[in-house]
Amino acid sequence: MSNPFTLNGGTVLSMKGKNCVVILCDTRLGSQYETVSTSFPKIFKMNPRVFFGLAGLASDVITLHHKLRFHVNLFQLKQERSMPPHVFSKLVSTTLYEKRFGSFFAQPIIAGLHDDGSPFISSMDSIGATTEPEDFVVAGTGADYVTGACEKYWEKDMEPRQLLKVADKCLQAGVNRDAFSGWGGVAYLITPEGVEKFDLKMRQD
Amino acid sequence: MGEFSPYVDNGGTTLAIAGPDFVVIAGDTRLSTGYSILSRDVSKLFKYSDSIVMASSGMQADIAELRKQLLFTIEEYRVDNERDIELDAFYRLLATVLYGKRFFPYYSFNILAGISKEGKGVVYSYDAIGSADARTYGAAGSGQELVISILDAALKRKPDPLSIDEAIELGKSALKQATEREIHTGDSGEMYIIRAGRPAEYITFKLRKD
Amino acid sequence: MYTLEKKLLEEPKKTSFTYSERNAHLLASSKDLKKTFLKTGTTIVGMIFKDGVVLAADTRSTVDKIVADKNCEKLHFISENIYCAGAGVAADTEHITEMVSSRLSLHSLRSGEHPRVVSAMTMLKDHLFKHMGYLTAALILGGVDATGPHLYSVWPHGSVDCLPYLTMGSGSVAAMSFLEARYEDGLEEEAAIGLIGDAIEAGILNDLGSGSNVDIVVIKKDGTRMMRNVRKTGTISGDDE
Repeated sequence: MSNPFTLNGGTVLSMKGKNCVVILCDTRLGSQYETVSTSFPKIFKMNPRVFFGLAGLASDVITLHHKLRFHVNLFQLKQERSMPPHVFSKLVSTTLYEKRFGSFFAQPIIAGLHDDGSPFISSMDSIGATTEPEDFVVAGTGADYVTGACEKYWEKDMEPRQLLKVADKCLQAGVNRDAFSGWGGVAYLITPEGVEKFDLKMRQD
Repeated sequence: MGEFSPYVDNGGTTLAIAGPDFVVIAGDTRLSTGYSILSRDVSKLFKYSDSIVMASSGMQADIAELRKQLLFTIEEYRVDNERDIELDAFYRLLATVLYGKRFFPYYSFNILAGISKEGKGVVYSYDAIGSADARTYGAAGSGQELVISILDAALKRKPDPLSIDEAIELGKSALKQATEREIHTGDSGEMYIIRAGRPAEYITFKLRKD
Repeated sequence: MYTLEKKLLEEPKKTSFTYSERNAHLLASSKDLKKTFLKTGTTIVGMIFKDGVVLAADTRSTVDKIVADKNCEKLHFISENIYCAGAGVAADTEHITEMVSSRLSLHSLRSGEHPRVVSAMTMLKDHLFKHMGYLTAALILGGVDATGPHLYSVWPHGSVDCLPYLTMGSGSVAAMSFLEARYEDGLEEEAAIGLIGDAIEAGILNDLGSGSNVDIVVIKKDGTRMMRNVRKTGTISGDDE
């Protein structure tokens, strides 16, 4: 058993556009070089405006998702409002740092829209150090590859359709170079009008 | 006393892109170890003839030695055969020299660019022990992951043939993007533009210095 | 060397299912695990000048050799009159300063006064000492309170230095070269900002762990001024921008 971060593989990407965000992931689940499942999405809908991607050890992806789902549901019941994206980001950060010396082996990405329609993205390492850049965030085994493509193709203030196209291109450029990611993908395009889900066509090898 | 370690990584990124009758090959000029910059102006490119340029990243001392061995051998070749070495022969030579040190390899990652006998642009990409194959583009070094995905996105399934200006711009911008995100790459870039039947042209461009 | 397999071989009849065994095994079998933590390679500087304290930092954060954030904030808010520059593991510097900040705000709500820099320093060093160096946070703490301007550096094991000018992080040597050459007592505000900017710039250009822009915060008796991206050192040396 080598690195728990790369054991199951997987890559997640999120990009900011003009009043919209897109979050994408691959759907492979592996055990080292052996592909176990081709339908393991790593993006979860936490509420209508907040999506959450997790890359890393699959058991921790599931555990962390359930743990956070509990807190988000409780927040909804107590306060009778949806948890805004930046609050959710903070929740993830503190949840991770709680386990500073025995961390979850997963890196999260958060994408969402604020009430005024402005986009929000953030990413974290496995112990909750947050970055909130103005362009894009990447996590997972193909992160280095995807970063390169994003750095070239991302532009400021992209419209929803263009954003989806660019993000898809960048994810596929990266994922096709990474042996531990691929075998299908999912994208969520979040705009003030609503959320659209897309299944991404990609190489199956 | 710490254990003797024969290798250091001096970082740096290289790339090459081939077209129908040309090839461009580029690299940055930063030399570093760990968090320190040793020099901002050390070339990773080496021209062996008008149509053969090699780009090397890895350990500078090993690269210097490798270049010396190659120069020595191609000079012998020139004396024996009374002509310059050609690309396909040089490709074999480099593979042989690298494999000659299979169990104590040169810590170098090489890309070879040149014009074939048929006048086509060719890129050969090597690992440290001489496994090589011909490609239409390649990248190596500390920013390889970043550069190769950029080249993939731009060149895979490109409908129209690549023009030389496109290749030059793509090469420059790929290095620029690698410099944005990879700490061992930067300072300035250099590029050889090799066209069939013409001596290689050399250009330089600026990169981030942080 | 210890491995789970070896131990199981030695004691063939005993089997353990405790998490500590699993975690120890996972950690032992992947030495580069720590490389996945976000680090702030960092150059940070602090200086006392005529009217108060000035702190500065670069804005690069890295995971191994890849830049994770080109414009992160390393000058952490503690209170209106106290800031803290952090180097080391990003999660540690962020969460420790946040913890101290919230404790001090309760403190000053109760007392009705601005918190003191020594209080922040004591909280930081106690917390770091308690964790015996396992929290990788190297901090420069600066502020102005009822007793005047103060500047401290707090090290990961919990030791503290109190000096008129300080540098920390992987670019500390490059930055210190400027301070040693040009620092003097009672610098004017403008000169202090110029010097501290040059010091960070030295880190940005000469240390690969530091990069991008210069952030400066000036803390004086009559108020605090936070200046993000005062210089964009990383990008100006390129062809465009």
